[in-house]
Amino acid sequence: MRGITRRGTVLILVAGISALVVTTAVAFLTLVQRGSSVSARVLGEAQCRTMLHAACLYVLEGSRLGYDTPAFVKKTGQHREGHGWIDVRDMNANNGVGPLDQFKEPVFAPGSRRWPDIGGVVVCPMYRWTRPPCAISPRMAYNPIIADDERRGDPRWGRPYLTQPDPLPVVDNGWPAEVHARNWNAFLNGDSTPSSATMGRAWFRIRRHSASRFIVTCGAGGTNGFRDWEEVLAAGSNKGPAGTLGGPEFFDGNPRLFDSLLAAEVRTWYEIQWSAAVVPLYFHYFVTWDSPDNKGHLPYSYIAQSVNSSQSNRETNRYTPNPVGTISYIQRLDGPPSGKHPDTGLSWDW
Amino acid sequence: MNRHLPFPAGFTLVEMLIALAAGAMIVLTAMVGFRTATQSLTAANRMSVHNEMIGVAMLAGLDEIDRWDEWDDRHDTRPEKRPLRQVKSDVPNPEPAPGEARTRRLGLPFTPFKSVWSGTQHYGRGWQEDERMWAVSADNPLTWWPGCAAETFATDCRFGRSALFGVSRLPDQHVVLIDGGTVTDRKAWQPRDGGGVYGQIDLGKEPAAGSASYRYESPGWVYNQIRGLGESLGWYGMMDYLPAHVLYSYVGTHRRYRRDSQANPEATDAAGRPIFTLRSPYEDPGSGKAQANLSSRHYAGTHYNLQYWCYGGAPHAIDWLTYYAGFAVQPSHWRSGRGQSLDELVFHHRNFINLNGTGCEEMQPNGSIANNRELMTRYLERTADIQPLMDMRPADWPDCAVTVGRYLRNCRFSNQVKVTWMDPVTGGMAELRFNTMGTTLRGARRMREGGLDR
Repeated sequence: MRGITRRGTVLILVAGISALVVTTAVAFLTLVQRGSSVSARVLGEAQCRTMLHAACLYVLEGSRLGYDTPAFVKKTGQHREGHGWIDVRDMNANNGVGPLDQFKEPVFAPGSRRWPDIGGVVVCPMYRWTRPPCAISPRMAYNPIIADDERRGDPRWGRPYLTQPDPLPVVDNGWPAEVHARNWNAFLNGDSTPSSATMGRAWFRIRRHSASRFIVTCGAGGTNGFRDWEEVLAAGSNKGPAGTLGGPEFFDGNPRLFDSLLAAEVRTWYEIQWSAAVVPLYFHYFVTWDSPDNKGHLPYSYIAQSVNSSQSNRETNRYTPNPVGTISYIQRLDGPPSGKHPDTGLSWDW
Repeated sequence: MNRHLPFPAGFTLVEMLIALAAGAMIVLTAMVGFRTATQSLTAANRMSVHNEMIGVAMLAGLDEIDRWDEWDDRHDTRPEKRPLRQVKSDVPNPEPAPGEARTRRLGLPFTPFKSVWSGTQHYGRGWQEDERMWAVSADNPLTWWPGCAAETFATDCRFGRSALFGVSRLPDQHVVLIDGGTVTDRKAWQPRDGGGVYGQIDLGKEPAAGSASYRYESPGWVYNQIRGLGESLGWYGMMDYLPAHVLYSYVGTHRRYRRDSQANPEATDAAGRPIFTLRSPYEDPGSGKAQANLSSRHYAGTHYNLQYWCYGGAPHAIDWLTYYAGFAVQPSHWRSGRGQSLDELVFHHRNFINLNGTGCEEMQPNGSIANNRELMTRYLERTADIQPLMDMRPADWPDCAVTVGRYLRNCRFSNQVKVTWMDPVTGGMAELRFNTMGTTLRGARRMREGGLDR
C-alpha cells in the first residue's frame, strides 16, 4: 500500500507539471498566432506596395516595349516598338491613343477591349521563373588565381590567366568538352515554369481606363489575380502560369478554396496616370558659371558639353533614366472602383 | 500482548524531517516553476503586444502614406485639421503691372484651386485645362515651353527673344513692350547700346477659357500655368503637378528693373530680357520688404531662388533644381500643438533646404541665409509629422510613434516612414525606418471631396 501511495503522488506531481507546461505552451502558441496575424498583414501590405511599384513600371515599359513579334520582324525587318500610351507624334492617328508602332499602326485591336486597348485588363502573377532568359551561371570566379603555397611550382601560380570562358550559361553548352549550341533556345527563352516556393504570393492587375489612366489592383495572396470565381471559370484552362493548370483547375476546381484564398488575401486599389513627359535630356550647362559682371556669358556650353557628353558627372543621361514616360499621379482608392469615373464619365471598373 | 501491525504505526523523526524537506522542495519547485511560467507568459504577452504595436504602427505609416490625413483630414472639417487649405490673400504685389491687383493670393498644398486660382486677377485657368492640354494634347504648341533655354537674364538675347510669345500675363495684358532701357553699370542692351523702348508686340486678347479658340490661341498658357501652380500650391506642389519635362521658369510682362530694389523680384531687366525665375512674393513682416524665392546670386539681396545653384540663371527643370535642394510638404502638427502660422506655412512651402555635400543652408524668414549644424535638425522637426500610435495606453505597453515625411530631392518624390518605440520595462528605444511609394499630392487632392482641382 505504501508503494502505491507514493506512485500516486508522483503521478499527481507529474500531471500538475505537465498541465503547467501545456498551459504555458498553449498560451505561447496563442500569442504567437496572434502576433503572426499582424505580421501577415504587414507582409501583405508590403507585398502590395511592391506590386504597386511593379505595376507602375509595367505601365511605363508597356508604353513602348513588349510588342515585338517574329512575324513583324520578318515582315518589316524592324523590331516593333510602341511610342507611348498617348502618341505625341500625331494626335490624328487613332486619336493619339497608343501605343502605335513606328508605322503609326496600333499594337492592339482598337475597340476590342483587350489589353492594351482601353477597357482591357492584364493580370500579372509575380512568381519567379525557374530560369530567366539568357541566364548565366552565378559562379563567382571563373578564373581564380592560384594562390596556394603548395602550388607555387605551378606555372599559373599568381597569374590571372583567362583560361576558362567567363561567363558560362546555366544550361549545358558542353564546356569543357566540345561546346555546342543544342540548348541555345533553352538559353534564350529561359524556363518560365514557376518556382513553386514563389507561387501564390503576390500579383497585380491593371485595367486601362482611358488613354493615359490605369486602375491598378495590388494583391498579396493566392488568387493569382482573379477577381472572383466567375472570372476563374471564364478564364478557361489556358490562363495558368507556364507549367501549371489554368482556370478552375488551378484551384482544384473548388470555389471554396478560391474563396478562402480570397478571404486571406490583401488587396489594394490605385488609380495612376501615365505622362509622355520625361525629364529634359540636359539643360545643366547651357551657360557657363560666371557672374553677371563678367562678360563671359556665352551660350556655348551646350555645344561643348552636348547631350550624352561625359566631361562632367552631371552631363550624362544617367540623371534622367525614364525614357518611357513618367507617372503623373498615384491615387489610392478606398475600395474597388465602381460606377462612373468622376472625371472621364467612363465606367470605373477594375 | 504485543500486537504486530501490518505496517509501522508511525515514523521516525528522521523520516518526518526528510518528508518535510522533500515536501518543501516540491512545493518550492512548483512555486518557482509556476512563477517562472507566469513571468514567461507575462513577458511573452508583453513582447507579443510589443510586436503587434510595431506591426500596427507600420500599417499606420503605410496607411498615412496613402491617405495624407495628418496633412489634411478627409473627414474632420475643423480648420485646425486642414491647415494646408488656407489662403494668404493679402500678399502685397509690389509695382503691379497695368491691370494687375495690388495684392495677390498664395495657397498651400491642399488649397482648393477655386479659392486661390480663379478670376481675372490670376494667371492661368486652373488645372482642368492643364489636364486636357497636357495629358491628351501634347501636340499642341501652346504646351511647349516657348523660351530659348540657352538664354538667361545675363545673356544678350542675340538669338532673339523667343519668350515673347509665351509671356505670362493676365487676360487684359496683351501688349508687351520691348524695352532696351538702361542699366547703370552695363549701359543699355538692345538696340545696340541705345536702349529705350524700341517696339511692342500685341498678343491679342486671350480667348475665354473653354472656348474653341482658347486651345490654340492663348499665348502664354504654359507660363501662366507654371505661375498659377506655384502661387497656388508652393514649390513641392508645383513640381508634383507639372509634367516632368517642364522648365520651371516663366517670363512676366515687362517692367522696369530697379537695381536698387528688391521690391519687384519678377521684373525683367531693363532690356526687357527675361529673368528666368519663379517668384514667391511675400512680405517680410520685419523689414516690410517683399520676399521671394528668387535669384539672389546675381542681385544680392534677401531672397532666394528656386533656381538656386543654376549657373548663369538659365532655366532648369526638376533634375538640376532638386540636385542640391530638398523640398518638403510641411505637415500640420495639429495634434502636437506645434502648428505653424499661416505666414510660416506660406513661407516654408516656397523655400527649400540646400544640401550641397558639405553642409546645408536655408533662407530664413528675415531673408538671411542660415548655415549651421542645427539647421537640419530644425528642418526635420518642421517637416516630419510625428504622431503617437495611441493617445492612451496601458502603462506596460510600449510607447510607439509613427513619423511620416514627404520630400523631393534628386528627381525623387520620397515618402519616408519611421516607427519608434520605447520599452516601458527596460526604457530601451528602437526605431525602424523605410520609405515607400504611395499616393502623390495630386492623388491626395483628388481623393478629397471629389477633387480639390475643380
